[in-house]
Amino acid sequence: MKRGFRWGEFIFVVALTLFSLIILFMSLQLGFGKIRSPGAGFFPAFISMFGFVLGILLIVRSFRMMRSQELRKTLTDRKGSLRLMAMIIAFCCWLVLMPWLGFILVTFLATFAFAKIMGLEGWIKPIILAIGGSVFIYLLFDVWFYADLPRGFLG
Amino acid sequence: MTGFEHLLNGFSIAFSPGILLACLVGVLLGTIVGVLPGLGPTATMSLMLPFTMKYGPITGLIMLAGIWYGAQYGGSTTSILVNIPGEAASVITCLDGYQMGKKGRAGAALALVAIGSFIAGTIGNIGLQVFAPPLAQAALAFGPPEYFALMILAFVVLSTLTGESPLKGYFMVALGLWIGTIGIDPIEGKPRFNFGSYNLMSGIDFLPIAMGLFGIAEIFSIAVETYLPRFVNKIRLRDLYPNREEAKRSVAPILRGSVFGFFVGLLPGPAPTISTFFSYALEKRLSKFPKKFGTGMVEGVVGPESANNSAVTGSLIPLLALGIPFAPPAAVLLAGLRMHHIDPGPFLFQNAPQIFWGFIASMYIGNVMLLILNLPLVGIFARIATLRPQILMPIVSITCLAGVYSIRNSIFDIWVMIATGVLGFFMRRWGFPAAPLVIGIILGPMTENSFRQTCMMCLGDFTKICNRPITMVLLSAVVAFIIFNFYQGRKLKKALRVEDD
Repeated sequence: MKRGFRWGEFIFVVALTLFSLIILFMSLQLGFGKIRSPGAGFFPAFISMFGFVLGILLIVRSFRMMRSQELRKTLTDRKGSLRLMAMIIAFCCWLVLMPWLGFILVTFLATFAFAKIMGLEGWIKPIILAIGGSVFIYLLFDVWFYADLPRGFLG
Repeated sequence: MTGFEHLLNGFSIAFSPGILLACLVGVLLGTIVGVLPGLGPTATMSLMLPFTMKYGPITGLIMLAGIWYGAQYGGSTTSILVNIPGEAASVITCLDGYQMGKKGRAGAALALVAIGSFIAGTIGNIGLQVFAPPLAQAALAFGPPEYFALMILAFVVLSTLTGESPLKGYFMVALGLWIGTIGIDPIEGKPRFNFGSYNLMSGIDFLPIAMGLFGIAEIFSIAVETYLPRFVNKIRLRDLYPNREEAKRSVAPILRGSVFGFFVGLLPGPAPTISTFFSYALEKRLSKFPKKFGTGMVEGVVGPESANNSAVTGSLIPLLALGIPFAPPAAVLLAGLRMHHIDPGPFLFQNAPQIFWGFIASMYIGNVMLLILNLPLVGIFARIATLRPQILMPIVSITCLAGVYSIRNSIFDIWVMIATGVLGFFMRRWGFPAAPLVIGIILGPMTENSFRQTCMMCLGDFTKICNRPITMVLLSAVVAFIIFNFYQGRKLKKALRVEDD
């Protein structure tokens, strides 16, 4: 695979490097202790220092790539990015709505949404899949495993 | 009790109906997961982890391990039939396997792979049974410095062998180790890095992270890609008979792959995948017709496929004997055992021998099950490969959501799963490996404890480590590996530059 500079990757590395620095300061505040009796911040300080050095090396390498090579194609096409966003929103909706609407109804809605986002054509197939998915989750978690999933207003 | 008596005892446990059913479910799921490109054994094992909570530790361990080694069986099916590897460890099988299929020998290739995998699994089991107890006995002499050095070696090798750059691998290890420190400090009792959140006081649970990195990230990756339908030719039972020449040519590669794969399995990292590449290279080197490789040589199919099966069994040795997982699926197994308050390692053989021997016995049975399942049902498994992700992934998504919630009834755990899923998706895109992160998280507390205990033992004088030969050997191996890798990298860069010129 041809290597190249990617802006997203660069930002990710910079963010992680800065995060390592923050953790280093937090670790020192926790108490470094002494080498013969290490404190709570001793080990995290070491690994954050290690992470910071690695981050700097990766940033330097990215700069070199930026100068020497062309930009690598970004994440994915527009449709793919929209599908990704929609999937993340659907996951978050399940999470937020589940305590209010109950897991059966939310699972039905989420399965339907997931199927449509992933491109299952028509309405009948996604509805059948959503009913099947909800029944499957109900039988598996509620009937078989006695899991305490919120039932919402259906309960 | 002798080893044989222990094994008989293990068989008496493994033949109980509940354990047999767990083994069957595990290997069946593993084969299906192996056939399906995308969803790997780590994601499936994480997904199944909540379900194992209802049963005992041995049932859970057998089911989860069944998924892992079952996936190695199933991975070859799509490689041979449609040139799409179901598993990373079956990528190399595409080269000659698909060519055999094009020549009308797909059935024979599938049958020989199934037989080879069975032999490799059995040889791997014998190796596990022979090597794990003495290693565990030897590990009783390990103190904190030895454990710390061993974990450093594991991190270095794992980071180097996974992903596109060792630097990124080390970065992920550091991140994983830091995540492992979140929560209450085990020695001073101070809360660390909880950012004022009550949910972080007890640390971040491993399961949502594993599900996020391997399951949700995979769902996102599939969602952004355009689906291309696959067509699989029908395989009939009578097509499965290899001819005499194919069978004769397969014997030595199967045996070589089995032994070789087992020892590669002891290394940290994606051992099953690495073993297939090494085995393929070995078979090509030993062949009288190396130039014919890639045109449908049976040696290039059965050797690697046997190697990946025995590598899985080899990977279980560090987990069971030392309590240290060297690969993400082994980390999930460790998490599963810890959920049942079982700590694998040297004391497992003394305190709970029934778990180890029951597990060994079930693996023998699981291998027989896989052989029986894979030969006559290969046609059905091949059809599973055509299952559309639009139908499969919504079901997997909701099972992940409900599964993670059901463990601790925690909404916070689901947030962690979604966040790590997004993180895992971008990590894949940008070449940051997930395996070192996961291993860093699971080994983080153990690494910190051994590090701090080593510091206390040495009283600040690290020259005292020189008096500990095992530690010195392990640390020398770390240095040697880094130097070797550095020179290999430079050599490769030089070669690429010459090629560019």
